[in-house]
Amino acid sequence: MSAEESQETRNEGKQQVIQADTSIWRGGLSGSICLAVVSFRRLFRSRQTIVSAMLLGFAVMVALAWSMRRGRTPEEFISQILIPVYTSFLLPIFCLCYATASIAAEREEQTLTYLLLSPLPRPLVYVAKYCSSLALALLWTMGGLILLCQVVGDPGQRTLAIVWPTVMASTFAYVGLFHLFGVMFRRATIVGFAYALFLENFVGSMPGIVKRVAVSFYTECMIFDSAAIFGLGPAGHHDEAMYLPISAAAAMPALWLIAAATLLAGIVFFSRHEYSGTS
Amino acid sequence: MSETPSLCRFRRVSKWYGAVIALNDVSFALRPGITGLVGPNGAGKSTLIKLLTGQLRPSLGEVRVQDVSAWSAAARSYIGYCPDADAFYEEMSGRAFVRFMARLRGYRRNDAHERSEAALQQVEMTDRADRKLGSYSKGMRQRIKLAQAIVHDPDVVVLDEPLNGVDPVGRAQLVRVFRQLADAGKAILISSHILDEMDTLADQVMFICRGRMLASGTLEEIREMLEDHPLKVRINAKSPRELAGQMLRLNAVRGVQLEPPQSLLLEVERPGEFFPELARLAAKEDYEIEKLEVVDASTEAVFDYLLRQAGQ
Amino acid sequence: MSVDSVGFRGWSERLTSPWLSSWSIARTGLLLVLRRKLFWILLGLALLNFLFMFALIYLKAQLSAQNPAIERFVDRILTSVTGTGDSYLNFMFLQGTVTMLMLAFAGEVLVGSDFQQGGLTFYLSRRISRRHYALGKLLGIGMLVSLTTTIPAVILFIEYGAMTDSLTYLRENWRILLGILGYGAIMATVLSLVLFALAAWLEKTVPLVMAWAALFVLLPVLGRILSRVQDDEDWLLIMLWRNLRLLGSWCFGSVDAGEETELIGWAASIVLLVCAASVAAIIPRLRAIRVVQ
Repeated sequence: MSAEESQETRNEGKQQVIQADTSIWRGGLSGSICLAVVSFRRLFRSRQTIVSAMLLGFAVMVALAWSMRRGRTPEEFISQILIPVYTSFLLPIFCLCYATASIAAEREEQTLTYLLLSPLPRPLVYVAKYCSSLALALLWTMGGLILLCQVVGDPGQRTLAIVWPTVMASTFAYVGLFHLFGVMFRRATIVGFAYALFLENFVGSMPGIVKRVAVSFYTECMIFDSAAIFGLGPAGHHDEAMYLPISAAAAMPALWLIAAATLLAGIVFFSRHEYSGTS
Repeated sequence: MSETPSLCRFRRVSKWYGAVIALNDVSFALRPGITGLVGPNGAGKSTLIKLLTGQLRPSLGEVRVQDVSAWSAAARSYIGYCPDADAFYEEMSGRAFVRFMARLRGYRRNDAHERSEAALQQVEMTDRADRKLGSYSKGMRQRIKLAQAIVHDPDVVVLDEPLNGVDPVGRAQLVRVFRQLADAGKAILISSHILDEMDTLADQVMFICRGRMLASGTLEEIREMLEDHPLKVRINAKSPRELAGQMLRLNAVRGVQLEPPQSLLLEVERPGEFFPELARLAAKEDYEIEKLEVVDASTEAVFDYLLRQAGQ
Repeated sequence: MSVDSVGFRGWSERLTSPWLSSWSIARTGLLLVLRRKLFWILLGLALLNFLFMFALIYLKAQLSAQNPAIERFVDRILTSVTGTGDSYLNFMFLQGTVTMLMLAFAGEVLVGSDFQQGGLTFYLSRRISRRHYALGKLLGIGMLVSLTTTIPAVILFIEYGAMTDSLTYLRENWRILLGILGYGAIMATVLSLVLFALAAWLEKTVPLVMAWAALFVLLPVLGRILSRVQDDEDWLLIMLWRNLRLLGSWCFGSVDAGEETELIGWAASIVLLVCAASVAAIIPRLRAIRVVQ
C-alpha cells in the first residue's frame, strides 16, 4: 500500500469513527445486535446444547413410559412428571447452562477483554449477552415443555394451556438470576448449581416463609394455583400449613419482579465492576 | 516533541487493590510516536495498561484519552488494544474475528468488511485469514490481535508484548507496521520485556518499577539525566597505549581495557566529570582520537542502572 | 527395580519409581483445589452436617452422663447418633449432596482443564505414563471424597467412643470402622472414576455440571417415576447413589438375608458396570495424546 493510499484509508477510517461517534446509539445498537447474534450462535454450538438435548430426551422417554398407562390425569402429570422432572430440574438447568456461560465463559476464556474494550456501553453489552442466553433458554424451556406435554397426550395438552405463562416467567427469572451470578462470581456455574439444586431444595423443604427466597417456590405456587381446576389445590401434595402457598396473582408479579430486579442488578454490577483478570 | 498535543494523559494516578499499591502517583502524557513501557514482572505495567484501556478505574488521579475519561465508552473509540493473553473465539476464522470486532465498534456490515480487510492487509494476513483461529501459529495470532486493535483506526494503540512468539521476519514486518502507525500520528504504547527491541523501536521509553515511574523520555534524555550512571566508552586512537596510561590517572575512570590494534574500552564511573576531562586532555596532548562511542547506552543498561538505583 | 521403572525425579532430584509421581500429581491437584475460595465455602457447607452430628454426640453423652436413666429416651429422640453402623451409613449418605457439589467444582479444576488447556501433554512429557497420571488424578478426587465423607465419619466414630466410659465401644465396634472405610473407599473409587470420565469428555464446567446433575439428581427422579409407573422397584437400581448406599450397608454388615442380598448383588453389578464404562471412556481420552516410544 502506498503512503498516499494508506493516508486516504486512514482519513476514511477517521471519518467513519467520527460518524460512529455522532451516531453512537445507532452504532451501539447495531454492535449489540451483532454481539447478541454471535453470542447466540456460540452458545448454541456449545456442548451444553448436546447435553441439554440428551437430558430432554431422557425426560421425554420417561414421560412416554408414564403415559402408556390408561386413565392418566393432568393432576397426575403435574405432580408426577412436570414438577419433579421439569420445573425442579430441567427448567433451572436449561437456564443455568446458557445464562451462567454467557459472560462467565468469556471471563474464563479471557475474551471478555474484547467486549469491554469495544465502545459499546457496558449496559448494552450486558443486555446483548442476556438476550442471547434468554433466547436460547426460552427455546429449550418452552420447546421442552411443549414436547413433554405433547408426548403424554391429553393430560399434557390440558396442562400446557395453563402452565406455559408460568414457565415463561420462571425462565426470565432464572436467566436474570444466573446471568447476575455470571457477572458476580468467577465460578458462576457452580454457584448457580448450588443455588438451583441445593439451596432451593433445602429451603423449599423448610417450614415458614423462608422458601420465598427460591424462584422454584413461586413457580410451583403458580402451577398449583392454576391447576386447582384439576384438583391439585393451592399447595399440591404438600401440607398447606407447612408449605404456606401464595396465590398465582401474587406469584406471577413476584417472578417478573425477580426477573426485572436481577436484570437491573446485573446491568449495574457489570457497568461498575472492574474485570481486572480478563486478560 | 513536547509541543505536540498529548493523545492521552495520566495525571497523578494511583491504583491499589486492597492493601496492594500497584501504581503509585504516576503522571505522563502519550504523544504521537512509539513509546516503550519497560519494567520487570509485577512493576505495574499491566495495571497501567488496564487503566489506559479503561478496564480499571484509578483509585486516585485521572486517566484521560483525547480529553475524555478512559473509563467511559467514548474513550474506547480512540483506543486499540492488543492484549497479552492468547485468547480468541477459537472457532472463528481470523477474518470473521476481525470483522466481528469492527462490528462491535459500530461499523455497518459493509464498512466493517472494508475496515477489516484494510487491517488484515496492513498486518499481511489477507491470504491466510480464512483459516480457523485455533489452527494459527503464535505469530499469526499476534497479527490478528494487532489487526483487531487497529481495525477502527484508533489514535492510541496499546500493544502488550506484541512481538512474543513472532519469528524474525514477522518481527520486522510488525515493526514496520508500528512505524507506519506512528508516522501517521498515532501514539503507540508498547509493553515489552525484550529490552533490545526498544533501542530500535521506541522513540521514547518509560521505565516503571514497583508501581512508580522511574524515568521517561528518549534514551538520550534519560542518559543525560543520569550523570552518575557508569558507562562503557570505546575510544579509537592512533596511540592507544599512551592514552590508556593517561586515562588511568583520571579519578572518573575505573578501568581500562586495550582492544588491539587501536581501541581501548574504558569503564567510566562519573560521566559528568569524565567527558570535560577527556576534552581537556585531547586538546592538550595530541592523541589523534578518531572515534568515541558510548557502548552501553542501550535500554537494558539504563534500565539495569535505574533498577539498581531504585533498589538502593 | 528395573531401569524402565526408575523414571520419576522427585523433589530430592533422585530418580524413583514413576508410581510415586501419582502421589505428587494427587497432592498437586488437591492443592490446586484447596487454593480456591469456593472450595472452602463448599467444604464449610459439607462440614455443617458434621458439626451438627458432632454436637449431637456430645449432647447425648452429656445428658446420659448426668442422668443415665434417660439414655434410652435420648437414643429414641436422637436416632441419628445411636453409635450403630446405620448412623454412620446415614451420615455418609447424607454427605452425598454436598460431595456431589464439590466434585462438580473439582472436576473441571482437576481433570477438565488438563484436557482443555493441554495440561495432559505436560504431564506425559515427564517420565511417567498415562497409568500414573490417571492414578494420580483418581487419587486426588478420591481424597476430596474422603475429606467430606470418610474422614468426618471416622472422627465421629472416635468421638462417640471417646465419650463413653471405656474403650469398649471402640474395641467392640471395629466392624463399624471397617464399614466406614469400606463405604468410603467404594464411594471414592466409583465417584472418582465417573468424574474423571465425564470431565475428560466434557472438559468445561457447564456441561460437566449438567451431566453430573443428571447422574445424581435427574436419574433418581426418573428411577422413582419408572418404578412407580411399572410397579417395579428394580428401576430404583438406576440410582447410582442408592446403589452405593446398598454396598455401604453391606460393608457395615447391616444387610438382611434374602431379597436384600440379591438386591446388593444387582447394585454391585451396576456399580461395576458404571466403573467399567468409565474406564472405557477414560482410555481413549488418555490415548489421544501420542507419546513417541
